Amino acid sequence: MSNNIFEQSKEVFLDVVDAKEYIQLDRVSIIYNALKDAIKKPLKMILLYGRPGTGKSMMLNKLYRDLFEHQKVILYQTPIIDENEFFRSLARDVYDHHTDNEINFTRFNELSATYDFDVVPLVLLDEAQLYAPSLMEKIRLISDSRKIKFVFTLHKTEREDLIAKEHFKTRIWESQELYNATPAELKLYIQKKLMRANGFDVANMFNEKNVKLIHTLTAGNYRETNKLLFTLFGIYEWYDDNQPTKINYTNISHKTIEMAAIRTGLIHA
Amino acid sequence: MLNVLELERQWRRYKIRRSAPYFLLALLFLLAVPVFLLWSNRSLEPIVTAKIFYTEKTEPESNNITNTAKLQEEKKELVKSSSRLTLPVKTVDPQETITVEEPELVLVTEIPTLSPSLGFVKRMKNNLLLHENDAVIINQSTSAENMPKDAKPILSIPVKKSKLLQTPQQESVVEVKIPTKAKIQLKPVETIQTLPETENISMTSDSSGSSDFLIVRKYDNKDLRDVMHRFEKNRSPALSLFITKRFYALGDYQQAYNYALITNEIDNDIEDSWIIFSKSLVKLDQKELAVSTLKSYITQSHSIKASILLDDIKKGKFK
Amino acid sequence: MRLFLIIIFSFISLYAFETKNDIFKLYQEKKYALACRAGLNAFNKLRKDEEFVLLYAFSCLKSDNIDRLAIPIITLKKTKEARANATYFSVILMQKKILLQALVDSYDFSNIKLPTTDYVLSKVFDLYIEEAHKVKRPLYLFEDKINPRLSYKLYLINESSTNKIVIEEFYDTIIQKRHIYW
Repeated sequence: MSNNIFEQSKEVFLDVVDAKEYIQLDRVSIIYNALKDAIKKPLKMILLYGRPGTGKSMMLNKLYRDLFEHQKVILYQTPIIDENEFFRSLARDVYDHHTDNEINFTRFNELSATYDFDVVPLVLLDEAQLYAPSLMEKIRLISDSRKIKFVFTLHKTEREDLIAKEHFKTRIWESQELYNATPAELKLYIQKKLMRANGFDVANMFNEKNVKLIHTLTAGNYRETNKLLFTLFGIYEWYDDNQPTKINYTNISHKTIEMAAIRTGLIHA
Repeated sequence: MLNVLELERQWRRYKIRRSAPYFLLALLFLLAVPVFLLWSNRSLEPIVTAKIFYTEKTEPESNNITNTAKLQEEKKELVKSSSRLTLPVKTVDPQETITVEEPELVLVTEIPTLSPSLGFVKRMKNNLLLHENDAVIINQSTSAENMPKDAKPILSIPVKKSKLLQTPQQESVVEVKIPTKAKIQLKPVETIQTLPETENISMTSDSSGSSDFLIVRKYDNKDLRDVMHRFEKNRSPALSLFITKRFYALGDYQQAYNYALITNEIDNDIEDSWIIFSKSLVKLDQKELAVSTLKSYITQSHSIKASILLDDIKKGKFK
Repeated sequence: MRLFLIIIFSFISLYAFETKNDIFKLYQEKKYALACRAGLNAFNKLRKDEEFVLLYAFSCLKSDNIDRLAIPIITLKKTKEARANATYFSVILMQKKILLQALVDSYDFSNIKLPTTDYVLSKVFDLYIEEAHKVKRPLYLFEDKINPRLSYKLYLINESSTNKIVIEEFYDTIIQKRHIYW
């Protein structure tokens, strides 16, 4: 039984982007709603940025899941580096235009002119920092034509900021920042995640103090938290199998958290 | 694959590394505090005592003897001016170098001498006068029955009024001392001799030793009593010399000695006083003392009279 | 009942007064030993009268009964004069005890600093502390600092297995008075 609970908990914290596992947190929810509203506005581009692990991909995913039934929305989780391939995919996914030929920028524009939608198709581009600047220019031009609306996610680095400003400053666009979680948000995140997987007992093992430690170690970063807790429950699983007397079922021990942090590289021991 | 045991080891190492700075800090603090306290104590003491020593070093440089005498003079002044208690202090020797000794609170330059406050005696005397009539006055009578065996010779002649008694409440210490010193304890004291009413005086000139004539004198010693009373008020050596001569003439060698002693104290240059002093000693069987006294007096004064007397005593001419 | 008590009280007061006056008369006659003894007998009755206590204390002091100063030291506190005299007596008493220990047990009190008094014991004590700690002798001769003609002899005797301090006052080698303290 105990074997199950730790194993279950571990599975919960697998670091995958799955919109089904999206955890609704107040602040994030506000941002998400703002994002949804922004899409409705006649904006050409929306920028979603934040530090890695703040849930950009997650949010984009959720957006896709929420909208795909109501309008045309395409999600590219991994960037298509090659330009021609990019336009070909775009043509296929937006206009249902299948061809083996290369489609360049001009050809795509010709194509898009022939189509007209009630609601402008939405294209969600994750990890947009990986796109080449020339492609980014072309994407900008496409968005200028108001034929396709783009939502980008970028890592919040200086370089990306600079690109964003240079490329888009004259365009009407909106940006949203995603932040790391506060300790309270982190606690909520962890507990909600566990409770969704029916891990109520384990969820209760988390209190202010140990969540604070986790927050200190991960800086509130969701990805880092996922990794840490995944390792944490892996350790608990081991103790459960080999030294069950060492487990305190009331609280997550600081010792175990620190051990997990050493393993994940958050602490340099 | 998770190696939990290895992780545990790493964790312990991490913990030690993390708490090491705190331990070091705590250790430093524990060491620093006593060091700081010691250092601050040491640095304070010299300042305090040195400061006090400095403020006291006002006396001029002089040799020890005169300085001591000066100090004693000042002591006397202090005693005379008030009988209040002053705080005990250390006498500062101006020749002493300022050194840091064990800390002590030093306030003034010399140790004043405490003296008794005898105001109560005055008050009691006044109360006594108020409450009793003149008949109930101590009669320090000359009758032997009233005198206890170990009574010592009292200077004052029995008087009727109590105010003429030697009372202990003296204004100055010096005054108290003089009567006390006048007492001798050579022998168990007998009763005070009464003053005879008549006296055969043989007027002899000591130097010439020629014609002597006998005068029978009748007197009641009233003049002696008067002079004694006057002497109590006015400590004049002339008066005490008169008294000593009279007592000697009357054969009261003890009293003669007493008053000669007093006279010498007041003024140690009166030849006659020393003569009678020595003569009285001889009469009181203190020949050696008389001789030594005379000798020291002669050394000082080169008195011829004294030399002659000394000679006489040695030869047995005067006994 | 009240009248009876008043009469008794007056009688006692009168008697007390009488005793105090008697002691005062003895004091004035310089019969200090007698005054001290009488004071001791009447002490419990008259202890609240500070004048009496002072009289008793001075009588005992002048008759060299230093130990009897202990109770007056404690009781004298109401007036300024009483307190000053209490201090005076306490210094003398302390000096006596210290001197006894110094002489009998050869205890080194050379660094001691105390107030002093005009009483002979105090003078000898000061002289002893100043000079005698350097060399231990069976007998000490000190010269008075104020009056060089005065000198003091200090030694111990043992009477009835009690060590006693003897101080003799001299004027020009003539003995003035002998004090014995224990």
